[in-house]
Amino acid sequence: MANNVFYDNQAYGIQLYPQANDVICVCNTVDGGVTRGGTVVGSESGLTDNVTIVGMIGTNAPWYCIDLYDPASGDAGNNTYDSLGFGNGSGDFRAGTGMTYTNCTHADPLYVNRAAKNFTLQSGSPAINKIQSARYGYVPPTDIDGKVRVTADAGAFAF
Amino acid sequence: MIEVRGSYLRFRGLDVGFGTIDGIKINVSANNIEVDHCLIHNAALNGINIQDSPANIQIWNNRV
Repeated sequence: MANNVFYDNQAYGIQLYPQANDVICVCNTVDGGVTRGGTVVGSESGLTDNVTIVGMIGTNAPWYCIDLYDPASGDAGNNTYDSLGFGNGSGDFRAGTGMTYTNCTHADPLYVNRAAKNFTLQSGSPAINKIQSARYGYVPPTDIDGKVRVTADAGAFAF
Repeated sequence: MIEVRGSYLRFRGLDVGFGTIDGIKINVSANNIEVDHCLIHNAALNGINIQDSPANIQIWNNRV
């Protein structure tokens, strides 16, 4: 999954549950939500493994930017890298078994106009060049609008 | 709602609105499916629902 925008959805923006093995989720923007929002990763019995999330922007969800649901504590090998959370009701990156967070921070991504659903980035956004060099290989060459990605920006829109 | 159970299909540039459950559902046994540049909105539950182990699914450049 790459370069997608999810906003104001009824439940989660992205649900990687259950049995969502080996998903690669790169440069997506998830905003708002009615009951939950954000992204959930998990399974009932340890079957959602090796999920890789890179460059996620998750904002203004009623719950989490990244939520985990793993009641059996059996999920393994899931990683979230180089992502931003902001304004989420329960927190940004929920801690739990099976998920490791690297270079994931709490910061306002500075959307140009969230009220108008314009999720492009203002100058000075912490999402600009957020993705570290070890993950450059995941970054799509263009963004959701076909704009060339000059820097390794988080989210669906290149600066 | 669009429900996909086939193979080697690309959905590009569709406006999928007001699904009674999901906008696009990619279901068991579907494989090699691409959803690209679609606008999926006002679904009653999920915008895109991928479930029950389909394989090689690519979701690109969509607004959901």
